[in-house]
Amino acid sequence: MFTTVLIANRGEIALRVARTCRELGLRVVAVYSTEDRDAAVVDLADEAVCIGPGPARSSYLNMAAILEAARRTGADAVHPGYGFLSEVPDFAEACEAYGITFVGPPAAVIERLGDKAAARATMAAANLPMLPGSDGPVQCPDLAVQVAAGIGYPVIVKAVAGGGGRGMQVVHEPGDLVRQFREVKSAAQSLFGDDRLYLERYLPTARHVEVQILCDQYGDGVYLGLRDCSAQRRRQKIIEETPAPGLPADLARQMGEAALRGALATGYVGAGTFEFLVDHDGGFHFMEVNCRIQVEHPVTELTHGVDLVREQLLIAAGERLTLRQDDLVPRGAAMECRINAEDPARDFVPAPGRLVELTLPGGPFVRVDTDAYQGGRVSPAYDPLLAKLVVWAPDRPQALLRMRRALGEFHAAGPGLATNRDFLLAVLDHPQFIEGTHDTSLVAGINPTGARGLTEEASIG
Amino acid sequence: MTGLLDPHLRVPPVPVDTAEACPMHGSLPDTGRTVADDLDDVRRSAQQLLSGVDRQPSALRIRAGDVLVELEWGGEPAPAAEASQVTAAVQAVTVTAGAAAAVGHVPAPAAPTGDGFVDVCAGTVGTFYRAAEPGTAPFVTEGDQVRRGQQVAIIEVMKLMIPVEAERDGKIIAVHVADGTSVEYGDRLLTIAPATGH
Repeated sequence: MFTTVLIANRGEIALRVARTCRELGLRVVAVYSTEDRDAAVVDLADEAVCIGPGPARSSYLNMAAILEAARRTGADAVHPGYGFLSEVPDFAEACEAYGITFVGPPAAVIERLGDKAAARATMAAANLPMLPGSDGPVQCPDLAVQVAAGIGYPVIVKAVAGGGGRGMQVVHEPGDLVRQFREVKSAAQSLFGDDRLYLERYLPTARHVEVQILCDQYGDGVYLGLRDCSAQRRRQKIIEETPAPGLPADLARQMGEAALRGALATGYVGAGTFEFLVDHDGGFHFMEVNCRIQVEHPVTELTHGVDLVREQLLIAAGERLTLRQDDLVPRGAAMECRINAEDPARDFVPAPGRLVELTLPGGPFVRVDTDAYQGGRVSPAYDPLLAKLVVWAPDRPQALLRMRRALGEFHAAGPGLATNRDFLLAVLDHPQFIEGTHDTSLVAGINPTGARGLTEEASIG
Repeated sequence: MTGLLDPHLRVPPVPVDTAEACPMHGSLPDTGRTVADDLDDVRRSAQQLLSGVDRQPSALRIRAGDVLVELEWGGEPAPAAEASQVTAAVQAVTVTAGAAAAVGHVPAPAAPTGDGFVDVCAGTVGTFYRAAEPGTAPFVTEGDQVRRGQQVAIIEVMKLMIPVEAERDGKIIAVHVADGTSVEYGDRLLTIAPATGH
């Protein structure tokens, strides 16, 4: 087993990973940019290294600086968290080359699954149900027109290297395809340095349901239930829950087994998430694989009683999975709200600033994952996630009541600071959300200023 | 990518516009950058800096060509309680926004020390060397006159040798770090007494 873990990340996830390392008796090294000098994880860590200035490109994405920090501190493992370098194959490879354990899948697996067209092909071969789409990347607009005609409209044009809701466009009319194909192509080039695109049938009102999996280095794996992440604003998840409301147990089991089959077929190692779309007829379709711990992992932890970061670390250390599928019976319902420093009244622009006042919710079965503290600040340099509020209850209606109560306790104020708290409450109060019958089009129909009704925002971002 | 802006351009502090999109978690190192991208980075960095300090600076200086942003606090020295905060802010003042993961071209941050001297600080985490090779003469020693842009040390990061350059014309009055020491970003390396009439 390694003895020192460098956490190549920041914010709440760095703190969350550090805590589990501490529980496992592992030494913790934090790395931080000059923007994050006062971060909680810098205090908590056994050692902390300043790796660069605020812009992520020069700090949290700076592989050489992070590897140098590992060398300097004697770190023999790196946990990448989510975002930043967590799904960059070169980083995983570089860690291994320097004799440092990368807590995640092998570089080759990240590379194959990070190429969305290759991932599609791999999963189709493993008999996962797919939406109709192109076989591999489509090079030119003329070919795209032909392929789209075969798929049927609406289609979604996606960057092979895309992810996180960026580098994609829904096309409703054949006449728009050539222009929009070219636009996504140039956006993909500038966002990802890779302009290859593929096409898929678009489901306007599907549910986003994902499967958490864990695989060890010896070909053994389990799935840990489903998370419904249909409450999204412009493809950014804002509320996640488990189990997926109203999803038949038989379908849930099929999806879990399909995800595990796909993972084992690719030689997956570690924690991962298979994302699916579930249509109104109960059909499910593979979307993509996330080769990292997810933001929304706590809901799975609460219903399964499993510390997923601990499992990641043990798997990376070469231990065998001790979890057995038959023992993984979820209990109750868990829900997460992402409280962001953003202003719903101004089209959700990031609204970071100093936290002059901060009250975090508490009470029974409430978990708050955050590194924010009163007197600290939300940095404008990064993602505006302020806190993840997670609750557990014996069933979904009670979880909803508990989430409303807990959100009501949350308070943050400071110059320039705004949060989406009230918007989250409006989503929780929506009849479709209460019923659990909502799909990915729900949030777009909720007026950010509080009054219910349709806004001009389309169902797709 | 040089000469985008007058190196001595002074602009008044700009109001912070939080409407600027922020880099998100998960953004990958990008390629194919343009001049406009760099300018955009400069502006965003400046806004970040200004939002991150409690006291507005008297000047903001932007230098292009691997992009450097500097804030200055003029006037009377800050009260003691504020001093450490200001120092911390000054340390954070130099922002690089050069080529992707610009390890090879990180300018060493320079920080005014309050007594008219200027510190040359580490532009990256790495190992500090005073000489080009073991056994050879150091680039500079105390008392040496240096020119702006002159190499005064090396920082090695993962086998890359990154030159440390003087930010000002002046005299080296102190070398703070021993040869072969591991440094982190922003560590004080040397102090220069700037030549007058800069």
